[in-house]
Amino acid sequence: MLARRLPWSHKYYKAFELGFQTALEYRLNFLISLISAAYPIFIQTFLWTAIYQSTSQEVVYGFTYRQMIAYTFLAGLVNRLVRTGFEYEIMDDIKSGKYSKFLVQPLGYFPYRLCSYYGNKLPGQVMILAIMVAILIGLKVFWGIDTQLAAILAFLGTLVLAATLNFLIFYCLSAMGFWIVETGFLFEGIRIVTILLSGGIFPLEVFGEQFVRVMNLLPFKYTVAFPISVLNGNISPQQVLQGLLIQLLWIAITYALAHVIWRKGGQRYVAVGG
Amino acid sequence: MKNFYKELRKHLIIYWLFLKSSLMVQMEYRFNFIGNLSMEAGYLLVKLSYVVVVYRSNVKINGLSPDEILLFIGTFVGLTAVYAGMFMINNFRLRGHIRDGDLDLYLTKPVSLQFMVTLRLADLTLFAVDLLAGGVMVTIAWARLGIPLTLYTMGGYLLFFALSSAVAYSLFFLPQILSFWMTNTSAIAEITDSFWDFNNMPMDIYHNWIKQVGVFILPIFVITNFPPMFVLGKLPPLYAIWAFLLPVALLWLVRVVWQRGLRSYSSASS
Repeated sequence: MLARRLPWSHKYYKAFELGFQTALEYRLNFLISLISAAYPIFIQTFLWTAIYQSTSQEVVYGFTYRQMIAYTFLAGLVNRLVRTGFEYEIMDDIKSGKYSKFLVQPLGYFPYRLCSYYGNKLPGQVMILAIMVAILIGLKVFWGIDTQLAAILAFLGTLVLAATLNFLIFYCLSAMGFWIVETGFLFEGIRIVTILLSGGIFPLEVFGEQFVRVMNLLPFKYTVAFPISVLNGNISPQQVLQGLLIQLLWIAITYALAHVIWRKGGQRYVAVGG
Repeated sequence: MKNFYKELRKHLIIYWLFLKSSLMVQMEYRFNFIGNLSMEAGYLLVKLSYVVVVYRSNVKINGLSPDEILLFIGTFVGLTAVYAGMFMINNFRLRGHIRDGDLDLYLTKPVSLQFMVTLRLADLTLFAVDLLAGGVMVTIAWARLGIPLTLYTMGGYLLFFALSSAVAYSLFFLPQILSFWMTNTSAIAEITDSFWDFNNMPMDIYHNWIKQVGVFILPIFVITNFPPMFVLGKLPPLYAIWAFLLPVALLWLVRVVWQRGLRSYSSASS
């Protein structure tokens, strides 16, 4: 009854707060996961350094050495910023029957998850953004790579959309839990592949023009590679606008898809126990 | 000596049964099996992306040709099969065994406790996928490099592969033994486990001082670099001697620390 009396905004603010508190509770885990995230950046930095030292070309795959190193650092961080993790909780909700309580409570499962996701992301995002600012300052001081204020603001905008898009992609995938009981391994496999396809490991240009053309049409690039291009200033304002529109389009498509899949899945849902 | 062989035979038979039961458990939940397969395929794809970068760059990276680097990456994938398929799952479970008191049950068995704890489970899906993929990469690189397939090269490669497996077993089990003294070692486990990926590329891409640290102080590079270095004739005599000494030293160290840890173990149920 209390929940009914709560206004819509207050209800989902609570979900946001819950996600925020959970993230703070496991802050040590987050810090450790940041250390683990530094390893691939470390390996790739040495790999690119070795490649650029061994070639006579100044530009490899369309990147100078400095641009490539900047991309490697930013990709590692943006990848962390948009990373999900709620899909395992959804799998558990469906498997254990905890999903039932959302069916009887005056609380939408989708907005609850979305607000909780944003709340959960916030502390980490603040920390990663602080690291990113330090990197950008480092790039300017040591390498003279300047980042425009407009690019930073546009980057923050694309980042929010990227996080939302990634949320929706994995929200769609989470519905697999209605058909398959144990989906944890599958999520991990998909997560790894999406990181690769989003440019979270290497720039997409590394895999050839044909590959880039295909990736331009799929949503993955707009979760990591596109925000980095915006920040680097590698693309024109028209391309930024075009990319933003594609992000919004994919958000609309995945939202509609999530709606359909979850409705179908909900029809299959069987709660066992009381 | 006769007693040693008898014990060895007994443990080998039991290990075979462990492998069989692990396979049966995995096959029981078929979708889990497929899910596991897809996860490993995803990880493999990431490792292959490094191969793509190396080949498309088409340069000798710090003196190593793309084919030579493929030999290193193939060996890394093959050894990942051994580490992640045979050891990792057991390493991660030790913490739970100690916390929940499961170790009590294992203590009553008439086999080595360390053997039971470290080799009880195996992820054979992961093992098969990675071993196959690693084997294919090594075969392609071997053929393209024109390395003769003799008893010396093949036997030497397999010998260094076995020594590397022993190093992987010891090096990654050591931090887990801390669970006897610390309630929560998940942080240490996650960090040390991430170290495995340092072998993703040949150690020659790193600075010389990082290489020496990775060989002699925190000997992570010994694991996947030495077998291909031997085949390519690039293994210095000092490294070759170290490759034989290190597994012995590490296995001994694991044994000593394990026994000390066991003395600190207090049953959760009593």
